[in-house]
Amino acid sequence: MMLRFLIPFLFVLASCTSAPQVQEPLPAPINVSLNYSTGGQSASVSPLNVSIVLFAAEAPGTGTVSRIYGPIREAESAYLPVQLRNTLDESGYWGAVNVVPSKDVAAELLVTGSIVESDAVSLELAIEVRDSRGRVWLNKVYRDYATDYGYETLENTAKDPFQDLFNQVANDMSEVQLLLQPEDYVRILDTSMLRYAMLLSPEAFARYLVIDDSGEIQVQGLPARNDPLYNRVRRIRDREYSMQDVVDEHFEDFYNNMQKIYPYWRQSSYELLVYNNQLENREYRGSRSGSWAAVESVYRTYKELKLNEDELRELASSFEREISPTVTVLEGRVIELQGTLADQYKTWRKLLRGIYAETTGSIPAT
Amino acid sequence: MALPVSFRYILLTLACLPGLFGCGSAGGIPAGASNANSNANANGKAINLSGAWEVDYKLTENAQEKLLFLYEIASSQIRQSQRRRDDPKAMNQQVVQRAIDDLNGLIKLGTLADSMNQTNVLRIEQGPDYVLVKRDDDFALTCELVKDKSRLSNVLGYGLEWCGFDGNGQLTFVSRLPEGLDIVHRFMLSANGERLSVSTTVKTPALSDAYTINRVYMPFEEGSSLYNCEFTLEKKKTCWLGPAEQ
Repeated sequence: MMLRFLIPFLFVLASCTSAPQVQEPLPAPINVSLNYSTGGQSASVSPLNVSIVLFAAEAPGTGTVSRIYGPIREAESAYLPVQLRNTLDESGYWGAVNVVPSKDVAAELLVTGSIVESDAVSLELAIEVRDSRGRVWLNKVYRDYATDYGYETLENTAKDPFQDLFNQVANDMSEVQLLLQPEDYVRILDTSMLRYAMLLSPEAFARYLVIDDSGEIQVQGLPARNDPLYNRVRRIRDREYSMQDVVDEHFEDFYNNMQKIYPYWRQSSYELLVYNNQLENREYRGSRSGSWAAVESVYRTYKELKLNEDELRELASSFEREISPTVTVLEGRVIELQGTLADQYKTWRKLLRGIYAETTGSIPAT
Repeated sequence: MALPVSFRYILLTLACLPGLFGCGSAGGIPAGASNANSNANANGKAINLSGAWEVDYKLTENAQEKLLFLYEIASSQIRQSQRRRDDPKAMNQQVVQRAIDDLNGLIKLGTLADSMNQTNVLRIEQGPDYVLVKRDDDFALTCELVKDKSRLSNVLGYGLEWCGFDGNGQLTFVSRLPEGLDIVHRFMLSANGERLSVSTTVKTPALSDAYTINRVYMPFEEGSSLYNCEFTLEKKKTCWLGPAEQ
């Protein structure tokens, strides 16, 4: 009686699986070596600082992430930017590279991204890089595929199977940077500082910046070198950088925690995803396809994947829950910042604006 | 690879053993699920299953005993058949061997099914659009209850998963994995809401019959337990004796 219902349904499932079983060979992964700075570029100017905003988590097709799998994608949205940050750091082309919880319009170089697709076989990221002038350096979708080899080396060398994608982004960024003239650097730095100043006091600094026809921001002039307001802005910004470092450390810790689980989750996921391709060799982890050992092996991998998925979900939800308050001293006052990292960062910026307003008698911008 | 008819009958009877919920509810797959297109609108009414549940040993069948019983019945049939060699209806050696192979396969399938349904404690979180079944010592079962959308998901690439409430308010999770391994978990709440039956059915192409194992759970007050666990980034999963920390 039971099987009368069960079997037709399983046939339906079988027919549903038939489409993906028509296998196409996986595209070849990209193979990109990271370009390292030789230290020769623009020696007269200091390297640009880069802010990488947490990637937007988007479910393919739907535009929303399911509630169940949301935490995993959320975890990836913090994990992948740190991976890019590490790659940029390693290249040696950049100044401070920080992961920030929200968009920083005054960043010298701002990297934003969204996860178009992320599974164990392919990773697709839409990346936009824009400097403080609003000039777009890159606006591109990057895609890479993993291979068996990528996961084999994961165990031995801890190299991420999608590292080539991050190398490609870093190389593209450094290529644009190498085309900059020294005056470009100066403009980017000036614009960045003026945009920050505008956030604190638009009435005092708005006149220095205009938006041209192409939508880029042009510097019309600069405050005097000894302008007390402008110097005050510089000091406030230095405090903001220190907060960015604190926030960045949280993301680094999270990344290190993720490192203990995420690569293994991807690895077991990969094994299932490429299972049918492996069937061509009629071998699966040493078990002949169709044998009982192969069935048990499939279930073991499935269970491993699901357990890792659970742990990732826990990890992601613990991350926000466990962010401890940040206690710091600001202008002689002890400040305790509470809530999520984004909340703490927002509160910090509000405090900085408040302090600026107090000392200059202006009204803080909202 | 077919099992002897009487053997198959026994298997089906045993699949319905718990009695509490009856054979019809134990084995049925949601009507809407038999047609992939109708899945979109076959969203059965969701029943609230949330809470903490612990196994009720009185009503839960013993998987080992069930397998042993099956084994004894089947091997007895094989022995009898071998003895009556002069009986034209008796099984020939080839058929006997096949029956023995099937029996071995069934034992393996039963053992696998048992390993999938061994959880003693379930913690179910449920909202209007999702159900999360956390199982002690096993992975969680997760279900998005999305209206007007197919609930067939392909999250594992070549594996397929389906979940949802059927017309009878039974929560069903179906997985079709490589090697034709099919797993169905069904959650059925008793009429008075005091018992939750979880049946797990496993099927592989190597055997013509599926194998079902049932467990029955009863609610318990979360927090009153002497044993509690928590997951933190620093310590990972830690458990302690005593009340839950606030």
